[in-house]
Amino acid sequence: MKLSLSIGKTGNLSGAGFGQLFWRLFGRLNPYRRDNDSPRHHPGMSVEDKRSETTERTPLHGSPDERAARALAEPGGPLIECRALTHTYHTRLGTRITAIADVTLAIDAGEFVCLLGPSGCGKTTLLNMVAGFLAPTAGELRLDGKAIHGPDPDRGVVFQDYSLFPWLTVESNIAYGLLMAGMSAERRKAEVGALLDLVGLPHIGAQYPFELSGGMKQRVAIARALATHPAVLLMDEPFAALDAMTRESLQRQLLDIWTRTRKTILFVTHNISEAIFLSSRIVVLSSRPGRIVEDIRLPEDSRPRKRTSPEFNRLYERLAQAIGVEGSE
Amino acid sequence: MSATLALNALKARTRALGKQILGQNFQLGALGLLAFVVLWESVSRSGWINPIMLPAPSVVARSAVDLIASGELIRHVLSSLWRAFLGFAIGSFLGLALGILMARLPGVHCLLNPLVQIFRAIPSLAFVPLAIFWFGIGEISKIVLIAFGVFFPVWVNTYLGTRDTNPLFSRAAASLGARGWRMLIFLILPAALPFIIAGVRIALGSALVLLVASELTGAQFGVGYLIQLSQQVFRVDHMFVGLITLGLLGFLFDYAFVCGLRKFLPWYGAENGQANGTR
Repeated sequence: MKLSLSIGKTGNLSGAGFGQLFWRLFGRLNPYRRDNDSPRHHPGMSVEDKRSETTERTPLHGSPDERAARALAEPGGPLIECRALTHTYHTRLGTRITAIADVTLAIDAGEFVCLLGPSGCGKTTLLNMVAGFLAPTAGELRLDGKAIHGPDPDRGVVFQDYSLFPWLTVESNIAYGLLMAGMSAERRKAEVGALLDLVGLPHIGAQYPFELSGGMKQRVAIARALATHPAVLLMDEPFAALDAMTRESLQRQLLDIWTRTRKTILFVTHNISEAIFLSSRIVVLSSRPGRIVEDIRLPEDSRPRKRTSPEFNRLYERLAQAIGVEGSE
Repeated sequence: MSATLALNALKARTRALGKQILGQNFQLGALGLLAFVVLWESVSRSGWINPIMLPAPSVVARSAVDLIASGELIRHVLSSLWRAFLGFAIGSFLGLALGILMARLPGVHCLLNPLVQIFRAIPSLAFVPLAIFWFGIGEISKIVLIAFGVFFPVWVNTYLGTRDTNPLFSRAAASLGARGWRMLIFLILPAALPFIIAGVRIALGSALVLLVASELTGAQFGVGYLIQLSQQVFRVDHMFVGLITLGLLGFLFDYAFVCGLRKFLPWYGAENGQANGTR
């Protein structure tokens, strides 16, 4: 699998020797594992089969649900594909800054990928490009085989700042994307009810965002982003503004939502333990220009990951080193 | 039982209204007002000042009752209200439309901006003589003047609010599928609403100023005209009735506006307060 080989080839840490104990404890965790080891692939499928499926991928059509189902049913090709992605911009003083340099990354359907890196490393730039808010300066960016042009409901976004529309009730906020898609009021109501249940806030539909706490706002924002049944959920440090206790509770809830919906999630964070707690895969970006320095797959059977466990802390140390922070948090 | 409840509710509401007018400390505010009226009354009756120049509040009250009983005051108020309403509606509609057009279409902005800026710099009261020269002293000149004065605050605020939409909201809406006119109706306009509301509130004040200014130049009815006419016939007490009526009208407009906001846009003030408090 050529595609995936290029994903995670990481530079400076490839030869670093970590304790043998770590590998024994984390068992299947292996940053250099090739995709054909992945249990998500049909066992009988040859490499050629998968390739042809990728190239002959049906264009994006049908209802969002069908799309999501198809994305899950076709584990062959990656859902999101970045090839040699670069983004440069000019500051007001005219300096040229490369936020993201030559990032090649493939994300499969159903993965929970955390983009981890220090502040200003371009992880949000990468997310904004996937969301369609920014255009790449160079390179290719595809969702489900189709080039990404601008924002679209097939990519739901949860922002760091509270982005709920203050003039709408919680219900109307969640129904916003459905209204834009022209869904009838009755169906909207049913969908909104189900989504409020999913995020555990069944009774707040009639309230306005200003009446909610920060944590509740972000849960509503998640519900709003999920309403259009996007193929992927993009989250830009959604819990960064919350206090530690609320953050941990929301992390658990997000994990629960992910387990239930198996939605592909691309999650940006600078918080190492958040990344370890949540992800099925952690992609570490270096500081300016942002390049991938680590690409680690975490074993699913280690969930829920205890923050006090030795393997958690070992991975923490390793990631802290990769980012360049001395294990402080 | 329910009658007492209703009475209590009425009492509470009266108290709330009183607080609104007289400030937080109701009793102290009422005391100040009472002292002012007593002072006015005694100065007027003291004989130091000609009571025709400064009629006592009791005289003014009696004149007010007479004017109301004869139906004269109501006619003045109604014709003033009708002009103010028409001028306000036309002016704010044009301000809203042009504000949105100029913010969304750069071509329209480049074409009209110098023009609008020049006209905005001229105090609208200066147009009173010209408006009368062009449109006579009938209804049209008054409505045009009020519309002219209302237009600018509404236009400026609509333009700024529509141009500087919070990019976070536009991104969120775009990723939820809002495009083109839907983006305008369901995102840009509601997001600009706080700005537009502020503009409309300023416009309410300038509508009243231009209403009186245009009525002072002559009319058949109108509160401003009542004041002007009373001056000519030395009825200072009627002038005071007119002034107090204008004060009450201005206050009631603003009060109704705030009540409407609280009822229909409960998020309006709250969101701002919270934004100031937490971020």
